[in-house]
Amino acid sequence: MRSADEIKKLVENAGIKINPEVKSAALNELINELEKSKQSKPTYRPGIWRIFMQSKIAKLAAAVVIIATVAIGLNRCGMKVDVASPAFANMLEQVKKATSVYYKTTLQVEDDSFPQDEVMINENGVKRLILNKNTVMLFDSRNGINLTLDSKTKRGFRTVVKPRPEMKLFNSLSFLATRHKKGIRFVGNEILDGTETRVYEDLQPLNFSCTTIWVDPETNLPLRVVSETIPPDDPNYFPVKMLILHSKDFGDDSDISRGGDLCGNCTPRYTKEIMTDFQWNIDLDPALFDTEIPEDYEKNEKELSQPDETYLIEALKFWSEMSDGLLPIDVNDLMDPNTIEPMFIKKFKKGQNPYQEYNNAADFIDTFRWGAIFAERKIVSQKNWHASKEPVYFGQAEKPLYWWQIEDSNNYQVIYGDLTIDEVAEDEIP
Amino acid sequence: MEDKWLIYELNSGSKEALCRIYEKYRDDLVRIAAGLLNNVSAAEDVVQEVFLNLVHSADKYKIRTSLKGYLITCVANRARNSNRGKCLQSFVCLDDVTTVAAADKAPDQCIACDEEYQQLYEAIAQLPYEQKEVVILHVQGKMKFREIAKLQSTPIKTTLSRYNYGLNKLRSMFNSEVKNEISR
Repeated sequence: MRSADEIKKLVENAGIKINPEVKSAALNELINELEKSKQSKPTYRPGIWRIFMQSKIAKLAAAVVIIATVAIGLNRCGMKVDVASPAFANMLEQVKKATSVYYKTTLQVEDDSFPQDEVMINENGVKRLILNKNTVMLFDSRNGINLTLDSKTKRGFRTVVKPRPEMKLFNSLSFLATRHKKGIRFVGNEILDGTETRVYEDLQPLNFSCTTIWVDPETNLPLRVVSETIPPDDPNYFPVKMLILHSKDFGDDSDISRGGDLCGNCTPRYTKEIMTDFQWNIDLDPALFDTEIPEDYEKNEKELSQPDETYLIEALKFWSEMSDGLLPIDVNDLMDPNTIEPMFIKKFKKGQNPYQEYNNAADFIDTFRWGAIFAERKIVSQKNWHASKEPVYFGQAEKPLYWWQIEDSNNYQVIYGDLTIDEVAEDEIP
Repeated sequence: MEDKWLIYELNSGSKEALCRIYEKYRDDLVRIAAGLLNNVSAAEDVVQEVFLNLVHSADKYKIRTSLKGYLITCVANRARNSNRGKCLQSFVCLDDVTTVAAADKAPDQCIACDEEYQQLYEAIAQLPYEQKEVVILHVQGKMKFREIAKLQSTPIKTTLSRYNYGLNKLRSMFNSEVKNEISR
């Protein structure tokens, strides 16, 4: 007698008789149809963005931009050029020489659309992001400082991360810094806000991205950019798991969100960023790029060097608190936003001061994320990692929860139920 | 991403892209259609129609969705229409039903080379169409229950029940078939 699982496997593996002659004839028929269809189609070749525009969500996002930037007149010649013209290289040179840039950006992640942000970048590559009337973020990658200022609660968060001294304005524009000449195509000309622009498309299959750049031929600088990341179909890839908290989930109407990836080696989710209203080489007040917390703000500072065990312990403590003391037996659960997000709301939403409660949750989000990223990088990615086969409750010092072999060593690291960590030899493994 | 790229190339008339898509998905699609229709020739026709449609309308394809998922959905829709046509025929003329049923069991119409798989396909053929559809699309097509529920325009709970009923029926039918074989 076979079990349901065995029947399922049988269905899964059931093969059929494939007739190679029929298969080959059918393919020939398709090729003939393709040839015929090529002859009947006009020579005009639509850009890939037109294909994207079939998407309902993309249409909605695009509609917002069209309203904001006035109607776009189309005048594409449909010419296909396999490599970008020297004009594209010229544009890159102009951007590299730029001393500042301002633009507006609208981001969409899967079905979530975020409100429009304003971005300013100075010549040192310090990026100032105005999220809404209350929140400003500064990213000084060169010195490894991230700063968030909330004018409503008068609180400042300064995080020290790994410095990247090579950063400058050009590197901060990820849509340009990662370009590779091979994928760039000149699509044609298009009237944008009364200016005839040159349009380039850049398909980067390895990065899962497609970027369209509208360039002003007079200044040789971008006027509009639409950048999309499309996740691969391959089921072997991990989709990015993002933990995002929305203030509205805490009853606050500020419409702000905070969060980030829950794992370090994941591929991206579908994202679309529309950048408009570019202004290049304008004067920007240096005071806008000051990464110190103002005197009248409450100061919160922390250092995020590398994700390590301490973040994981904090994440596990949080988990057990939200699960009546039970610790997650499957460490992968820490990377499941569908489980984690309700826990954050349960823990921090008290129904008294929604904005403050959202911020309290958001304060803890990086710690949790780094714990999850550590678990993914250092535990789950190791072949030799183990987890308890029976429930472990917080405080059970004698019960091991996870243990894994330390890189380049025969010893193992063990996390016990009381969340203490110990290093043991192979023959001492619990 | 390869699929998006292939569709992009197919849309500009690339034969190589067409061949790649065909080689990548054709056999799996025929297998799924054969499971739904219990007939390899009919399955090949359905899959060919789907590919012809893709050739003619690649530019209308939504690049955000998975190409495989899109093709499987097309196959499932066409297979269902084909099945409805068959049901309509049987409603119109009872004699035709006998003919169709007999044709389904003709030796040259065996779906699988392997006897065990042939028994399995015969058991699948006896399932109510909706249950068969969920089992085939979920197990062979790797479609999510949510996607199948959308395709069948039913709540996800109904889809899950259909799956469980289908798999259990398949199990009991297949096991009794094997028992009969042994007793013979």
